[in-house]
Amino acid sequence: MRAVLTSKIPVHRVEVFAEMAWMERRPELGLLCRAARQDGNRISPPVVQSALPGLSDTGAKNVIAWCRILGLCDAGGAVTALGEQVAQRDEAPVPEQGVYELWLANHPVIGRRVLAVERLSSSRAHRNEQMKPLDVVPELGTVFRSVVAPAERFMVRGLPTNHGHPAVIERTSRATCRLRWRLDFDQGREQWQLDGTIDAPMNDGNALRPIQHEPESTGMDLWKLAETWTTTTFAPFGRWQAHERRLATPFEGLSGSEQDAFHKTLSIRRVEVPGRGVFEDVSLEDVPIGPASAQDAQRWAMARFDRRLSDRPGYRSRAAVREEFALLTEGTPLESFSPTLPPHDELLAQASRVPERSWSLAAPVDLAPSPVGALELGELRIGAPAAAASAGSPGVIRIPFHGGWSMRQLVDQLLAGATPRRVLLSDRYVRGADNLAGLKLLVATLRASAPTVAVDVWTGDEGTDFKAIQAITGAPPRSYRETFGKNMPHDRYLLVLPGQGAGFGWHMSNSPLHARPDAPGPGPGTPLRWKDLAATRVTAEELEPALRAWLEGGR
Amino acid sequence: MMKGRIQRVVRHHVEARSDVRLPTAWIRGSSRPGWNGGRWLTRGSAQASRTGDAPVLGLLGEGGAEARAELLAHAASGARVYALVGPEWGAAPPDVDLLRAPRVLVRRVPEVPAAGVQVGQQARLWIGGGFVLRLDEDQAAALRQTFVRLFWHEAEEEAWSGTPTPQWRRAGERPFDVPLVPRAASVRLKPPDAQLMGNTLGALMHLASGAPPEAAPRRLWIPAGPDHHDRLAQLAKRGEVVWDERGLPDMLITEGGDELLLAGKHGRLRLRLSVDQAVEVARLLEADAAWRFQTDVRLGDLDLGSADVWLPGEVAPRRPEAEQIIEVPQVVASSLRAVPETQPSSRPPPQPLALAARYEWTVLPPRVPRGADDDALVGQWRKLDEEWSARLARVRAALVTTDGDRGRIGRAFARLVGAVLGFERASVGLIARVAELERARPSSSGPAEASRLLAELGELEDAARKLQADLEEAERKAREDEERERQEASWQQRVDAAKHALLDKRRELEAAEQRRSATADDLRTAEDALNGANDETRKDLSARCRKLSDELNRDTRDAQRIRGQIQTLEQQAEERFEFRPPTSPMTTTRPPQAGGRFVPPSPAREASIVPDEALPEVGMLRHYKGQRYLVIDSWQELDAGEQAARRLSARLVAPEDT
Repeated sequence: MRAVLTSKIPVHRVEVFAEMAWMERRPELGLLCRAARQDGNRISPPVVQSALPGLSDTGAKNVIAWCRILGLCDAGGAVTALGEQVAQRDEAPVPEQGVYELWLANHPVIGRRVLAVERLSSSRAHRNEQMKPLDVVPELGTVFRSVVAPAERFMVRGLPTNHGHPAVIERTSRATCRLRWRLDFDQGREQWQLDGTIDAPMNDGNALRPIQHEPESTGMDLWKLAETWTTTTFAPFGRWQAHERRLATPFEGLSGSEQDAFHKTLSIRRVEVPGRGVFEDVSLEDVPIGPASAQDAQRWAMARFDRRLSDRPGYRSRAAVREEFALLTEGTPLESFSPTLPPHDELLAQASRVPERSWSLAAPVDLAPSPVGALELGELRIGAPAAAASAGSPGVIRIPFHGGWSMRQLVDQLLAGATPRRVLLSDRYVRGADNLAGLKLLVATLRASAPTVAVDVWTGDEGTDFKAIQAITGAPPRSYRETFGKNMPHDRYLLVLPGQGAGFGWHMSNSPLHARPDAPGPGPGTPLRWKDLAATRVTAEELEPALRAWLEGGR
Repeated sequence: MMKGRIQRVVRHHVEARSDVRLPTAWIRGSSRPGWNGGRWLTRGSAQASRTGDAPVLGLLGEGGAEARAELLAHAASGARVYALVGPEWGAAPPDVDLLRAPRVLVRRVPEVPAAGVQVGQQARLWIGGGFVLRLDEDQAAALRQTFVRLFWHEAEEEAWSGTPTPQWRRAGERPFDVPLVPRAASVRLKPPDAQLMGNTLGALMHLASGAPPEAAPRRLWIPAGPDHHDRLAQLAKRGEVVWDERGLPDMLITEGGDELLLAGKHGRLRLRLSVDQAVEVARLLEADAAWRFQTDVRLGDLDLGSADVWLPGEVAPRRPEAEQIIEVPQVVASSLRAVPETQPSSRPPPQPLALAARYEWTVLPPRVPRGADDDALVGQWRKLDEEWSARLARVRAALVTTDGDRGRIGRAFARLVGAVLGFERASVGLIARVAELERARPSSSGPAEASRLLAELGELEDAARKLQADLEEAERKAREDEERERQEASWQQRVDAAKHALLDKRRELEAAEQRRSATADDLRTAEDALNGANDETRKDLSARCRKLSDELNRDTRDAQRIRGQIQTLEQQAEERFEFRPPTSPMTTTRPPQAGGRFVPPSPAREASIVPDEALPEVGMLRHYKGQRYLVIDSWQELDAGEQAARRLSARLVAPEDT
């Protein structure tokens, strides 16, 4: 969530008698202030004498008195904030008195600030009747940086007056000044900056010149600020959920990109920041959003699903459809509302008016190499307890969605009681940290059953860390391109060469590497979160030539 | 004996062949339809019933019209229909109708291996010729897997109904892999060169194409044709070899396993038949067949009216032929007399299925070669005839000219009247002799008579020439006398004129001499005076001297000219007469006449050559490349022609265009 708060700030241009100080390079004072850090951050005679060897006690006391006059330390010698700055920059204020022209600005975010200053020669031309009280009294003792010449830093040390009320001669200014306050809630960072033009004179006269200002921060806690908006700023749009840091919003009215990003931009006429003022016409960008109700979540999930099918048309197996729906909902604000993917027939009915969509869903089920199970054809409720695995037909292993199987359960079924001598995993996507962790778990589980089993991996080239795979399996993997050429398999295969007897294989609708643990460091017996996986046992002659060759003893 | 104009002759010969035997042949007789339909194998279409919401799968391969019609019916009832079609599919209106049905997805593959429909677990294949084989459950499952594999792995394009205008697009990617169909499956796609696998010995076998098997089936169905006759003859010794075009695929019914193999360019669908299916297929293969392969067939035993016979090497079957008419190329006779008996040196064999062969050919008489010219003997006689005619014409023309000259001379010279009468009598006699010779021709007379005629012509030419010479001499003498008289009269006239002019000139000379003398005296006087003259008179005297000198010179020239003229006149007066013959010969004054005068003068007489041989009595004597040809165009001239040809060493022939 981000916002940019803006405000116009009036600039006052006045002539005033003042005591000023310009920050000038004084390394000896910097040295003195740094030396004070060694002695409890106090400027004491020993500190002065250590920094300035040979100085007498009286001389040291005079130096300390001067430092106090400059504001580098207090009466007790404790280093002030200004003294800390001097210690860091070796620049110290050099006081002076006179008539100055000041450009002043005032806002709760920036304080009472001198934007620029100009020395004037004293003149008797002015009469006391022209004098007016100073409306914006600048913060005394604060170092300001000129917005005209950023290298110039100065402070107002005092505004000498007879009656305690500084009087000035007001001048007309053509300056414009705007405050831009950027709030980045996600990054926990906020910065404000001034921009505009100012008519402070320089060598080329009174021409307007751009304001030069380096961003500054107020140090505000932004999420606490957001909480203050729950009943004000956010109320027209939804319900702010402070714990989730998300705005619960109805589905109606959300654009496709807002549905997919789970973020929304709010246009707000008036925003109040406690203690920092009120800002008009604020655009609150990328506000995290989520569904306001289960009905909203269901509609939201289906809208995303429909859009995904439209954006990426193509034939999808029922398993791919279920996986797609899970990808679009799990890990999103929708998940907690348990949205449901309708059964296959209902999806077909919904797509009946769009032939391409209808065929893309119907054909992979109607023309599946083996019948699609009723469980798979049924609805998929995200977040619901996994369905119990059905007995299934011989030679078919089905792991239901979020079935909770451990890797050992799967491996035991795949090995079918055989002790493997060699196993081949043909999977196009053995890449990414999660999949490599899944491979590691698979290999560990296989070797738990057969410690000497050799594990081969054939996988796609793109983005694959072959060395990482070899480190896990102990054997160099083969690339799909060199193995299959252009006829790369779509599905995953796990082929088993037992120590005795003929080899066999499993044709899998999903990858065993997609199983994810709920906690790090899973073992072979750890229950895992699975996507739908159906494995069908195949013989060598049912396999593509390269896989058949491996199973028949080749490489 | 042949008569009339010599022409080419058509002849023929008939050869009987009923006892000839054919080593091997396919023979088609009549066959009875022997199929009443079975439980598994039927003919015609019977739509499978729908089973619930099951999708309908259709293979629209070769001969898939009925399968397509059945798919249309399913689609019309609302079923989801999946169809595999070949590259050419889509143009026919029924194809378009299928894509207009409610829910149809069509995918195009390089080749659809069969025509079939599967609804749930019910599947049927159209195996050809309208025969439909119902598949059992195992076969249906295997067919479905074959379909699914082709659908997802082999499709190149796809189109679906449900849009106003279905459009073909690239086939979408498959959502999963489909396992290959295992070898043990009862339905499986085999390579395009696959053959029936079982043992054919003692089997029932149906081959739609290809070579016959090694082991002899009990009954082999193989397409009748020109090939493999030797092999089929071996198989026919141990079994039947038959054929009937029923559109059926390769099939084998044997103890080792019954199978069916559909045709295909990319692959062949093999189906292992169940026992029940094999029984019905066997019944079909035991049925009567129209074609039968036979060996050692006697031609006379074939049914001329209905039997088709296909012999080895022939592109199509044929029926036996009662009599084959064979046109033999033309034959040229060795001589004109041999024309009626001439035959071809060889005759082509008749077609194997001819029960009799009738050969027909044309005999050409020997003919004079194209480009032959008249023989030299003909030219010699023709030249002699032409010379004969020309010489006679010249003699006649000279005699006619002589008649004209005689009249003219008679009229011009009266002194020659008597001689002219004698010349007339001689001329009349010579013209009578010319007329007599003009009635004869040397070429028709033979060498001896021709020589006599030429001698007589020579004598006639001499007589005519002498007559003309005499007449010219008489004329010449008369003209010379006339010229002498004219020259003498002219001489006398010239002498008389000169004498008369001489007297005048002598008087003119005397006067001139006197004028000259007087002038000379005046000049001397003037010169003397000039010598003594003073300056005043000198100029006048000098001018007078010059004037007198000029007059003296002129007078002197006049006297000399006159003396010359007198000398010339004296010479003319003394000239003597002398006759001068004219420079050109004294010719006649008659106008030139056509044919000129008779030339040449004797003895430069022309020497005509008489050929040694006489011309042939019949025909034309021609010559070509050193050979004489005697050309006759009528059979009646044959005998005379043969004699003349022998005499002249010529070949007796007919005209070129015979």
